[in-house]
Amino acid sequence: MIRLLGAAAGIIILLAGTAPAEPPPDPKVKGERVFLKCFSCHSLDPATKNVPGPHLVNIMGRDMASLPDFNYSPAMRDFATRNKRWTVEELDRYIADPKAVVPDGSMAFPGIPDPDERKELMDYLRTRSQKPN
Amino acid sequence: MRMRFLVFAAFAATAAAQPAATPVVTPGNPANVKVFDLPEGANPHDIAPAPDGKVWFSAQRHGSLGILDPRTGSVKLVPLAQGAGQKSAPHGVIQGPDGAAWLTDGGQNAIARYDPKTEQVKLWKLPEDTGYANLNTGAFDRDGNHWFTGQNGIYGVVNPKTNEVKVWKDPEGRGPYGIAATPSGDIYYVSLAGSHLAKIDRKTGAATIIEPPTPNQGARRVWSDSKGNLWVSEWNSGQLSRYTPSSKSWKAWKLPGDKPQVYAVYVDDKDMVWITEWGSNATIMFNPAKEQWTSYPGTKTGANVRQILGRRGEVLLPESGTNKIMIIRTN
Repeated sequence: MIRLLGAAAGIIILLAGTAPAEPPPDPKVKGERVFLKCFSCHSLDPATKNVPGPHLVNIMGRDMASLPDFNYSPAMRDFATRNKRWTVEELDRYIADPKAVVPDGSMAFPGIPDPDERKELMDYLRTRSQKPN
Repeated sequence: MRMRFLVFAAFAATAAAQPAATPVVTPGNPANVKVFDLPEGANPHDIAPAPDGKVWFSAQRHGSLGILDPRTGSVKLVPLAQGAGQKSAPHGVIQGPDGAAWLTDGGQNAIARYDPKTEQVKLWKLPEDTGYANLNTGAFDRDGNHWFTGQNGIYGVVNPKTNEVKVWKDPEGRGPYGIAATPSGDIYYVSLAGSHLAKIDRKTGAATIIEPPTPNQGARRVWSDSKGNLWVSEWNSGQLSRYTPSSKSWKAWKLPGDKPQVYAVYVDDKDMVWITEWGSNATIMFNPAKEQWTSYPGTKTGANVRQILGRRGEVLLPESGTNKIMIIRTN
């Protein structure tokens, strides 16, 4: 009986503690191919809270460091005071070399130097934005 | 097997994490601490002792292995890209039993080996059908096999004798991050997005998930002490936790502060547990026997130490945010 109760409690923990798995990007699909580089830290589902980066739904045009339940680094919060929202130009500059734009930021990703890859990624992210610009 | 661990998790979850005592803060730059500046853009991600007293670090943004000589402060950067058009981005670096530097190179989707005697770089590419793995960290078992994680949801192994590379999918998808070997040669890894610890069956490659009692804790890195207990740094929960395989039990300590985030964990030769806590911008040494905490502040705001390693009498701290390496003498 104790074992059964334990198993039941364990199942409850499992259900409460995990969101449905977000399917991984398909490397054969344009856009998703590049998003694979972001996928381990960023979600395209606002309900996903267990990845280390903020979700990227509506990132195009979104106010910087604006998700209320995400713990942005001090460097990113400081950057956001000087640059209000993620325009295409700002996002392109950041994705190309994050450390050059926010040197003390927590994102370790070394960047995407290829402009064609960045365009492909941003075209893909734009499909996830309600305020594309 | 999975259900057994869930049952265990249900019981363990009834005990809340113990609050950590406020760490004793060391004065700025005490005598046992040395700091080294690195070339612009090196931004050390991971770090490892080299066999000749030097220090290796992964210069992720630079696509190089960094070599620091603490006796002179000189730094050499060894490019890792092999072939035209290749871009290296190494995340992890460790010293192999062969005395070489082994790196998990996300840029080339390969495991890289740098031989300090010949100064040659060799790559083991992941199988084509693996796709971009976002390679993370490596660890050696006692047979000389190099096990590794990929944050996009894989783990795998390189057998340097046969050059065979095998890859498996994590049962819960993206997230595999830190990986470590116990003194008996068992291999464990943690999943940051999956919030679990996993033990790898080295014969079959199967991973058995071990759920920590704190849901969504964000297990980022793992290290073993001399008894084979696994110490886990929990990014989301701000806890340091310990899993004891012999009793299948957990204990956790919650770091102080509004939003503690525990990134790296390492256990030194005296079984002192070292963590980095980004909320307080500090590296903290935990004495498990005395439950005492000692804090070493970063050299400036945003030190962002992402990994810790060391050797007898020395702890190595790569400050990715300040582009410096701090070395703490412990004896």
